[in-house]
Amino acid sequence: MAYVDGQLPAGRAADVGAHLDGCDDCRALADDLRRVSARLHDWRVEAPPAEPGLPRALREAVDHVVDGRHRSWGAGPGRASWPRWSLAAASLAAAVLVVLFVRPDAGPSPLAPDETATRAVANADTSGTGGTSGRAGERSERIARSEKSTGPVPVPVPPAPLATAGVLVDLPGEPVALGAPPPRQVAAPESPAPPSAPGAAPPGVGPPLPDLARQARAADAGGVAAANLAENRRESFEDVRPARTVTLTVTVDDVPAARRALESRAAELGGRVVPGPADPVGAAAPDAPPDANRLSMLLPADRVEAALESLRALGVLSDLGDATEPDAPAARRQVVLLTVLLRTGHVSGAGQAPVYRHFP
Amino acid sequence: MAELDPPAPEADPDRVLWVRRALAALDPTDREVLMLREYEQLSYDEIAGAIGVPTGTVRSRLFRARMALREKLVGQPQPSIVRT
Repeated sequence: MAYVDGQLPAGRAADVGAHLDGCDDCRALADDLRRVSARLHDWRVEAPPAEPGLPRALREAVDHVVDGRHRSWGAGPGRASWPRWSLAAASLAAAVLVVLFVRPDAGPSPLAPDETATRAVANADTSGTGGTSGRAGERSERIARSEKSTGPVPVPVPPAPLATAGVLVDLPGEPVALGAPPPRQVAAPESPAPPSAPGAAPPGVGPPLPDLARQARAADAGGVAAANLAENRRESFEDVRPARTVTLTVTVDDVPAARRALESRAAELGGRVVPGPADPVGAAAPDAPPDANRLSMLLPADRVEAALESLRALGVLSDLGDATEPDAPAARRQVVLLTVLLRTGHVSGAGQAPVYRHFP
Repeated sequence: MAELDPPAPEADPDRVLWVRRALAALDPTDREVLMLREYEQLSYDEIAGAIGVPTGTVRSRLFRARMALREKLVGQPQPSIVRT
């Protein structure tokens, strides 16, 4: 992937290129990935007319890094500097209902079915808040209300990294009460539309993870997953035997989608996913066979509650086990092993597509 | 491996709708990274800085997004899926 994008160091790129010369499968995959990029550019998505009140944080972050650089598109006369897909985001925000939602400080319950659909809309607008893990109790999720919808077709919405940049989305008409404790949920006056068009595939559905991991290794001659883990390991902890182990089962609608969400969440919380049976710290069930539904992660001890909160938002928790080794050294108390068994079950409302919002 | 079709006119509503729906089906976090890469042409490090995740996470999200789009945008020569 990084090779296709020209993002590998010269030495690595040469190695990958040499491999591709002799491997038809990998070369075909690389060609396909290039075609995906080409098609995205060829069939560029035009946004409806611009709306004010773009996600400020994302706009500022992107403008900062692209400032003064040539944009590959959209640089024509009269075109706003903000990309069309962000205008599309604002448009969708204008098409859905407004709910200002702040999670309670502790002990959130699993999503009730009637909350799920509302959160699906929230997800479309505020799903980039993964960096807010340290402020779980203060987060706001915001959905925009508008009097009009500017386009007949729901468009993909790039999430705004609200807390990553330290500010919230500032949409017109309503100031955001940062830190204020509004009601847990304000009922929407009407049923919100799903973020994707009718007939579209449900969100979060993709190829199963093991296959992705294999192809990632093939495509990147080193492995996306391995690189990800290595990077997380460098910035957090390694070979620390956790004093506390937490195990639980989460019943979700779509196990692969939930697994992907959890893997992203683990990284966002400063942790990393570890292979259960080969876990250097010893998994909760070390003699268990590899299980595609089982996901183990090492987390900083102070992020465990945030992880559990995320799991509650993802599905229904059960079989919770929490063991702490007594008299463990302080260093080992800084890390917790969390092992999650993902189980398929129907947890959202009848007839609804499974909803996996990005964690707050 | 499907052959690459000639670029369709941007105004073709079927094509645009097809791409929109394919993108809408992505995980939002994956889609965010894909948009920053494809349409903003940010480097992996720049994306990581913009959204506050490790570069490795950018890699994996981008890979997932493109793999998910692979079948939709490359494997199907005609956007028949939009005619529902």
